[in-house]
Amino acid sequence: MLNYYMSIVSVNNLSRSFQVFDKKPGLFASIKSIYNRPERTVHAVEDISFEINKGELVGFIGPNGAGKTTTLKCLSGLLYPSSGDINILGFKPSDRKYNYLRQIGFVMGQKNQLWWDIPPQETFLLNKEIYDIADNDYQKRLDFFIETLDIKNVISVQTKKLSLGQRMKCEFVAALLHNPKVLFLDEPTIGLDVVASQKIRQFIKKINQEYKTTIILTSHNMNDVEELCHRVILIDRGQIKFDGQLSELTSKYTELKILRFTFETKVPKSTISKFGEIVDGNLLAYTIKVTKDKYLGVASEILSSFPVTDLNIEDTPIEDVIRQIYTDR
Amino acid sequence: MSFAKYIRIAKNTLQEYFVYRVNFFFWRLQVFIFFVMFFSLWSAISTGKSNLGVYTIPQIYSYFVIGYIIKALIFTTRTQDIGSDIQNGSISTLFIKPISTLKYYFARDIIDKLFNTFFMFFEFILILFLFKPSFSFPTRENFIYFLLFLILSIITFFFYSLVISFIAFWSDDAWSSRFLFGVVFVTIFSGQYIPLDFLPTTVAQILDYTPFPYMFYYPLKIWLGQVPSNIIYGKLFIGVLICLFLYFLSQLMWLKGKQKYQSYGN
Repeated sequence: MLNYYMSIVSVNNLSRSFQVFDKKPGLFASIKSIYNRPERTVHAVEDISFEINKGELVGFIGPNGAGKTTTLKCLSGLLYPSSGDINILGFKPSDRKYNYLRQIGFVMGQKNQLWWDIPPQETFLLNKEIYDIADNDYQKRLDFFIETLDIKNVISVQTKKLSLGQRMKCEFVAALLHNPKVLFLDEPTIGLDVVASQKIRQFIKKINQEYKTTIILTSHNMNDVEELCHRVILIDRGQIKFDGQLSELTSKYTELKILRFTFETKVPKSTISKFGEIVDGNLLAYTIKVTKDKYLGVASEILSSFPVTDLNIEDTPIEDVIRQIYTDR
Repeated sequence: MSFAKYIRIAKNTLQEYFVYRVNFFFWRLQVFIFFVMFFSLWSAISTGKSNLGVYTIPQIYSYFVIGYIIKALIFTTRTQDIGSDIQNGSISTLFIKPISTLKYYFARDIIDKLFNTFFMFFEFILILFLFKPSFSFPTRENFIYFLLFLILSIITFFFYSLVISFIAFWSDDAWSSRFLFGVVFVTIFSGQYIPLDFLPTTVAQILDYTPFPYMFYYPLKIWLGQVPSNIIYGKLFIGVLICLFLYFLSQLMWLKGKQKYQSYGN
């Protein structure tokens, strides 16, 4: 009951389908498609339900075409659901009410809200007017973002002349100047290098913690998910396959532990392979996969039988878990 | 309602023009070249004649020269961007903001018209200097009707152009429909190349019940004093009806289109 009252996002039996035209390859098929275009319905999202509480940072993960972005677009009000209900902050997003739109922000990794031909600061000023931000608040937040994201010398340069990383930082500023209660992030680190991605992740974390902004993100970058999201919603073929803590996902979908040994003297591969599947090894160090019910016994046996100088026991990396889930589809 | 945001949109739009100065210059140049071409053509046709159909020579010159001025006010538009913005999904960035998307385009439209009109005046001076055309001026009464019809033309074309752009919600062929209905039909059937009374009577009569003559032809005919005052109200009535029809059609398409919108691209 308490959860119900805390919930800021409530989705019930949401479905969204699209009509697509099928066309065979080649010129002849193109000509044929003028008078004969077989239509097909694609169910991008099918009967999904979930709730998100205030201040949560939830990650939507899933393979390409799973329905992550479609869900996000339905939540933001960009797409009308084919069926089902969405309630965010007491609004039906597809109504696109002024008071709803004032309280959300959306960063689309592959779409600019910044005006392309003029500097980002002009978009910021426009957003100041659109969201009716008071002068003081605007300056305070802008200063905070400039300092946090280190973009002092960036905001006065034409958007099209910025690097992808610089542009994404400015996209964040444009989406956050009005201090939205709910922030949607669609692939926020796509195409960014390691350093820029890290900076963006730190920023997202800071916004979530300092402003208690509810953040819903989709990402293929597992670093984003691991570093930011306690809760993940795994979506595949339009349906939710998992909704829970990231650690639960690992334990649910993998029965394996990773054991890393370093030896003082060389140990033959054939000897180690008896204990589990070798992932990596070079006679002096091995990484092996062992099932959860056996890993303690295996670790203890290797420790007692070989000259071990170092041992690490880890869960299967989330990236491997996800890869396995995708492969097992 | 705050207008500050629309003023800011207008300012940003203006800044965009300064980025693409050469683009704009070439755009105005092609408009000017087209004018020179048509003006020369009509001059050649009228050489040695005192009349061309129902037009005296000063009237035919006035038709094209005044037409050149009002074209900048009526037909320069940013509504043509809407079709491609729907097609490539970039209109999404407007849908998620607390702003009227149509007013956003209207604000850009206004700046586009003002900017073009500003430069058109310099070109107009150049036209006067180069061609020294003889002019026909309207009576005060006709001038007021002319202004009234001009406003109607601007609004009619705005909603017409919206309707054409909104086709993109349903069809991938937004560019071709824009070209045929928004460029070819408008330029020919609004009388930009040939005054409509040079067309066969039946065609002109049919066109009377389409939006096209009310976008360009009638304001000029009124300027020239060629629409009797007892007919003006009838034309105004039909023009307003067509404009209202386009307004309601555009609103309906907008409402339905937003529901159909697929937000292409991530």
